[in-house]
Amino acid sequence: MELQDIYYNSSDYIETASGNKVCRKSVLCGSQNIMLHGKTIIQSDCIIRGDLANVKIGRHCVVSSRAVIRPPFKKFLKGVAFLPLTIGDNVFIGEGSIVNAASIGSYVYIGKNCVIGRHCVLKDCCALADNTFLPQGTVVPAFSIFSGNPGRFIGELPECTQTVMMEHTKSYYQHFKPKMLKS
Amino acid sequence: MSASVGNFDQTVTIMPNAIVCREQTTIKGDVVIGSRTIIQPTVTIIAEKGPIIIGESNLIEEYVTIINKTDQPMVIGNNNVFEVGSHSESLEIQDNNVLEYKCRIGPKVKLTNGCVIGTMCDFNDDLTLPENTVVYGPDCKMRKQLERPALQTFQLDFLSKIMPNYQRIEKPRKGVKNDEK
Amino acid sequence: MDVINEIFATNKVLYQCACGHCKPLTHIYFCRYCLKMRCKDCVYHEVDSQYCQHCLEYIPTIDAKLKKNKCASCFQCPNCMHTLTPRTFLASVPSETDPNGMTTRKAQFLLCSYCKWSSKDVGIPDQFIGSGGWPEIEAPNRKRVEGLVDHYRVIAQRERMEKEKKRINPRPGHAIHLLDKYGISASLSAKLTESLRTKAYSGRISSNYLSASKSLTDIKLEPSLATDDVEPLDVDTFYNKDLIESEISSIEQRLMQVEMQPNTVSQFYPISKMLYVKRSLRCKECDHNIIKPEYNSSSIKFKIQLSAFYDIPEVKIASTPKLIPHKESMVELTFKNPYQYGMHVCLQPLKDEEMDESITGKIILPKAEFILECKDDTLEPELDSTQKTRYNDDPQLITFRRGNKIGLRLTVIPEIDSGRCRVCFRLRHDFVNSVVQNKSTGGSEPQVSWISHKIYVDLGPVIESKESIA
Repeated sequence: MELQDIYYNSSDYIETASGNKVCRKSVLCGSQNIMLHGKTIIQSDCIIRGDLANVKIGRHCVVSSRAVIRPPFKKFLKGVAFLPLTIGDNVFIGEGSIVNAASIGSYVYIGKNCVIGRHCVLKDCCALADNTFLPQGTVVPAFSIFSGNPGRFIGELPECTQTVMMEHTKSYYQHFKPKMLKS
Repeated sequence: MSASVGNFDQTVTIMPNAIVCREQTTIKGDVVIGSRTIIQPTVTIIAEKGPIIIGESNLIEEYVTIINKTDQPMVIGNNNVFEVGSHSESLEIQDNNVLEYKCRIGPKVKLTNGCVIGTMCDFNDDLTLPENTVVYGPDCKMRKQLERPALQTFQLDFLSKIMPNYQRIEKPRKGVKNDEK
Repeated sequence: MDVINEIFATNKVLYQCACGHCKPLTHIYFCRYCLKMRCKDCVYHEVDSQYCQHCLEYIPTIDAKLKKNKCASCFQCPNCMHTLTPRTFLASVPSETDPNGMTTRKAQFLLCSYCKWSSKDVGIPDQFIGSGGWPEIEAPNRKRVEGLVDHYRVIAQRERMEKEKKRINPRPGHAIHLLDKYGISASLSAKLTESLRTKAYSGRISSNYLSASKSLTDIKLEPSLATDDVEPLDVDTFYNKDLIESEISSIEQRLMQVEMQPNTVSQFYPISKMLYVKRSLRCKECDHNIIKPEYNSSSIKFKIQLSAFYDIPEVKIASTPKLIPHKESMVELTFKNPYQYGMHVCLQPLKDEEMDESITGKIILPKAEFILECKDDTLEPELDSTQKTRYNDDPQLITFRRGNKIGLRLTVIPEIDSGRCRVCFRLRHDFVNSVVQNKSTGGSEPQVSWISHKIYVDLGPVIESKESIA
């Protein structure tokens, strides 16, 4: 099935020079530490905590509404810090998901209402089903699908995942259109 | 982006050294927030009838909801952590408890000390959890933990240092009681 | 899962594999040597490499076998099966230099971040960093199991030898007997035939020698004995004691620790994580590799990848149509060329003998052939306005053309009163083979061949008319 058009109120979104579409109703704390690499969509009520540490989000990502992206806290033997959080290209983050990971690779699909605990690592080309909970320190290898509470390996993604995810996020961006105002 | 300023009632008391972010935070009714407690943006704390008293050095993260729907006072002790998206209606939470991501606890539950309510647990049994109980998994399994969860003092110190650089903080103040008006 | 399936394995459009199974395009491979579709059910699966899902370390096959396909450094929680994380802390230990003083040393214990089980719970001592891995506990029947494994390995080896011998014996001396049979040996030099004969003879000797070298007598194995003595059942443990649920392990927990099978929680021990494999796939007909992954476990690249997704036009439903039973309705399908060469595509109806019961609708297909442009990543499809005029597209049939993708409007007649409407057609297109070169033209020209695929499209449920319900 081809993606259908998704319309948004053009007054609610800001489009940057590199094509990022950011909702005004989102909470971007410490925006000078947040880097969006272009054509990324940040929907309403998202929280990105750039004030805690640097957050980098790649190209053609989708951060759905009510998602929370917050760098993980790490206690070392000497001192404490929030670690920077990197998200690769062509990543889809579903509604209401909490991302507390150490890093997320490229071509990753994260379903709705997922919780990604502290210091999780999601490699390239992997997927989380809806309502998955990854406890602290989980590693999701390439081409695997994790699901459940706690999240466990339940299946493999096809070898062509990279292209599938690339086309999916690109086509999401193309179908994410401003609503035509009747005037 | 557009910093929608927080929604605070006049009845809210914020003790000195507490950090309460204003952004999209709603605190209503008779609420007391203890010193060194940190409240992140987008938190909702509503005391509908009975008051809510939050102790010292608690960490309350984004999208946390704390509601007191009863006439009884709700008392939250010290050094508790409410992680992102957790929802609490419990009237008694003592010290050193952790409410993990997206968990929900109902008004009948009482937490003593050092309890952990696991991620996504929806827990509303009529019982007082003994010390160091861990509730985990989709069917709320319980087990006793050997050690108490670690104190978050370092995180609180770190946050109280960096948060004022980025966030708009509500100043400490004494709440006006309705009957004093 | 539903959305993941929608994106990665939609069951709305299915392609029929050469083995007869219908699969989504993402799960189909295209063997460029036989020019046929393949799926996971009709190829050889081979273990390419082993790796641990947690530390992602590549483990060579020999090492993996020695370690019983388990990771040496990663453990999972015996209580909830989540991966345990080592927690480091500073422990004070008696100092080596000063007998009365204490020094601090980095030590570790294992903690489950999910159910908070820790190695301290069952009294496993903390490990000092640098003192090697966690001690392994010996399974109660390890010696016996190992003995049995050795025993059967010898039996298997012997059987293999015998089979080999049988295959060799009917033609003793390799091809040498052919020389005699056709009298060729006379025309060859005596020296050459002699050397051939000795070679063949020594080959036979060595194979005989091997099979004799290892025999069952080398391994002494005591056969199992049946016994009449049955341990008395301690009834008290089952009936006269208070059952404390939190102290007893569940069946799932026992089965996960299959070597130990602890009855109580206090006997838990961290479980080594099992290794996972990377697979390579091989075509059963031509023995060529279809999928060959890189060794690096976190690499998403492949040495060889022949997914059909990169070769065969992808069909998608553009809009969900309203389907009224036995009435014509318009359906828009999109066709996309993922390949580096342009394609001529035509749609063909099924022959009568190809129809099956699952087809519940009739699709009226255009007779004309259309062209799909090649995939070009450098081009922004929206900006190319010349495309429209370049092709003489029938606007009645082709709704849009954007880069390597076109939309086609087709007529569908559902032939059922209720249920889902499924249509089927054949997609025929030319395929320029860039891998296999045509031998007859001297190898310079790529070979062009026409191939066709059977495609099932599930258009969704038909609208049940009110009369039929009443």
